[in-house]
Amino acid sequence: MNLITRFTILFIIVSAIVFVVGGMISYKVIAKEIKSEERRFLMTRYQGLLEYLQRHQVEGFTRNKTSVQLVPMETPLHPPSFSDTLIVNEHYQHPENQIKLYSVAEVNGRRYRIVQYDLIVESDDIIHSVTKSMLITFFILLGSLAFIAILISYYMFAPFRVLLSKIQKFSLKDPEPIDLSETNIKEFNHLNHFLMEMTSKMITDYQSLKEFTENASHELQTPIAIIQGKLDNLLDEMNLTSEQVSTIISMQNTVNRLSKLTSSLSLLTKIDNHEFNQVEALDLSKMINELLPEYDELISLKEIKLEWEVTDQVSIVAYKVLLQILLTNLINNAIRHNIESGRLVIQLTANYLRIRNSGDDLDVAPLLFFERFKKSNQGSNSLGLGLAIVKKICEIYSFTPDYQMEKGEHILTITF
Amino acid sequence: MKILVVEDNSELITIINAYLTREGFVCERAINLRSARDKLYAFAYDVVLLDLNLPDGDGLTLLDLIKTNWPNMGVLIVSAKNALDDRLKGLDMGADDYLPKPFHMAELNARIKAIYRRRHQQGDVNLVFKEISMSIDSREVFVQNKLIELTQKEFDLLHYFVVNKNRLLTKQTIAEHLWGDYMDMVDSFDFVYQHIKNLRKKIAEAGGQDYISTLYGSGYKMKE
Repeated sequence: MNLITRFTILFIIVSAIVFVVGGMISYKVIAKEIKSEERRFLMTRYQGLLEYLQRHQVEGFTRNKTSVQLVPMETPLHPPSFSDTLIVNEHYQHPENQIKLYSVAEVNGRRYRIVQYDLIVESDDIIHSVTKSMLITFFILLGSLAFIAILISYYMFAPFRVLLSKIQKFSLKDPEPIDLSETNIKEFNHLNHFLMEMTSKMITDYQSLKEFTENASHELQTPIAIIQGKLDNLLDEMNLTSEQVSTIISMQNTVNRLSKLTSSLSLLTKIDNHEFNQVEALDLSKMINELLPEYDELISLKEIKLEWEVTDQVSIVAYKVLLQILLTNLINNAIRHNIESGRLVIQLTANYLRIRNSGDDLDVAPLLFFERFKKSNQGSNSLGLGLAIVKKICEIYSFTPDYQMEKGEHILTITF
Repeated sequence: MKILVVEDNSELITIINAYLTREGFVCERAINLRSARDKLYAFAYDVVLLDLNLPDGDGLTLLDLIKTNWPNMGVLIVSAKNALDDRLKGLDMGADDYLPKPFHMAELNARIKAIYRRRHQQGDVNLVFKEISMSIDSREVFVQNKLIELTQKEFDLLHYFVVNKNRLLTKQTIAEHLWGDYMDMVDSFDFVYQHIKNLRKKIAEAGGQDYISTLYGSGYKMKE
C-alpha cells in the first residue's frame, strides 16, 4: 500500500468518525432549536387566543387544533405546559406526533381549560435530513480528497518518484553518484542531498575496496614469489643436510598454500564484485568430457570406480573460466574426499549436475561446507574454500547448490 | 642466450638473475617500462621476461612494442595479476607463454628454454643428455639410438629433468609442472614417484644409465 493510499484511508476513517459524531450533535442542536421554536409558536397562538377570549364571551369550542372549554371556578389554575401526544388524524386515520399545550386560565372572571395542538417535526425526519446532508458533505469531501491525493501523488511526489527510480537504477559499478535535481520541497531536497552524499561515499568505498583486493592479490604474490625463489635457490646449494632440505621443502609447501589461499580469496572477491560479466553459451557436456581424462591417473591411483551419465549438449550461459573452476572444484573434492576403491558418479542432465561419491561420514551438516574455511578435518591439507567458491559461482548464475549425505554417499547437486 | 628481465621488484630480479645466470644465460634487468624500452632499443635479446604490473604503466604496452619492432623476440609474461583475462590478453597479443606468480625457478627455466627453442631452432629439435636423445616435436626418446616407448607424462617428466639437469627438483615442483592445478599436492606426490620409477625402468631396459638420483627422500636430481 503506498503512502498516499494509507494516508487517505486514515483520513477517511477519522472523518467518518467526525461525521458520525458531528451528525449526532447537529441532530441534538436542530431538534432542540425546532422544539423551542414550536413552543414559541404555540405560545403566540395561546396569547392570541387569550386576547380573543377577553373580547368575546364563549362557552367553549373546538376548532383549528384548539379546544376551549368553560370550567367551574373551583378548577385550579394551570399555567401553560407542553407535552407530546399522539393524535389520530381525522382524514388519514393515522396517528401523528403533535405538541400539546395545556392550561387552565381565568379570563374576565371565567375559567377556561385550553388545549392547543400543533404538528411537530418528527425526530425521524430530523435524523433523516441530518444524515442525508452529512452523507452528501462526506461524499463531497471524499471526492476532494481523491482529487488532492492524485494531485499530491502526481505533482508533489514527482521528485520522490524520480528519486526512487534513480535509486533503483543505481549500481555500485557506475562511476557516477546519483544526480538529483533541486525540488521546491525542503524535505525532498534534504533527502536528495543526503542520498547524493551517501552514494558518492559508497562508490568511493567500493572502488577502494576493489582496488584493495586487486592490489592485495598482486602485492602478496610478489613477496610469495620472492620466498619461493629464494627457497628454490637455497635448494640448489651444495652440502645441505637432509633436515635442511626437508625444512625447505615444507616451507615451500606452506608458501604454496599461502599463494593458493590468496588467489582463492581474491577470486571470491572478484566474483562478488561481478567482475566476470562476459558470458557465452557453453556446452557443459563437452567440458565435462574433456575434463575427465585429466583425472584418469588420480582416479586409477585411488582405484576409484568412475561412472558417468552425461547428457549431450547441455548448454549453460556463463563465463567459461568460472564454469571450469566450478567443475574442477567439485570433481577435485569428490576424488580428494573419496575412499580407496570408492565410487564416483557424475550425472549431467539438462536440469542438474550431480556428483556422488563414497566417503567418510560427516560430523557436521553437509550444507555448512558451502561456508568459507569449513572443513570436516580442520587439520587437513585442503584450503576449505572450494565449495565456498562453488556456492559463489552458483549465486551469480542463479544455480542452486545442494549437498546431502545418504548411505555413506556424498551427493552434490547443482540445479540450473 | 640473452634475457631481459622486466620486473619492478629488485629482490625478485636478483633471485631470477642468480638462477638464470647459473644456467648460463646472460641476464639484464629493467625495473620499469622506461628502462626496459631503453635497453630494448640498445641491445638484442632472445627472451624478455615481462611483469605486467610496472610502476610506470601496463606491461602489455611493452609487449605491443616488442611485437611491432622485434617480432622474433620471445616474450614470457610473468604476472601476479591473477586475472584470468590477463593471461588470454597477453597470449592473444603475441606473448609466447604466461607464468603466474609465484613460480618455481625450475619451471621458469623450462619455459624460457622452450620459448628459445621454438624461436631459434628450425626443424625437429633434439635435446641430448648423455646417451639419451629427445626429439621434442615428434615426442620420441632414444636411448643409445634405440626408441623407447614413454607415456605422455613420462616424456614431460624426462624433458623437465633434462632441461633442469643438475638441479634438485622437489616432488612439488615436478607435480606442479606435470599437472598444474588439477591435483592436490599430497595426492600427486605418489604419481611423481610412480612415474619416476617407470621412467627409470624404461631407460634401464634400453641399456641407459640411471642418472636420476633421489635426494633426501624428497627430491630428485638428474646428474651428468
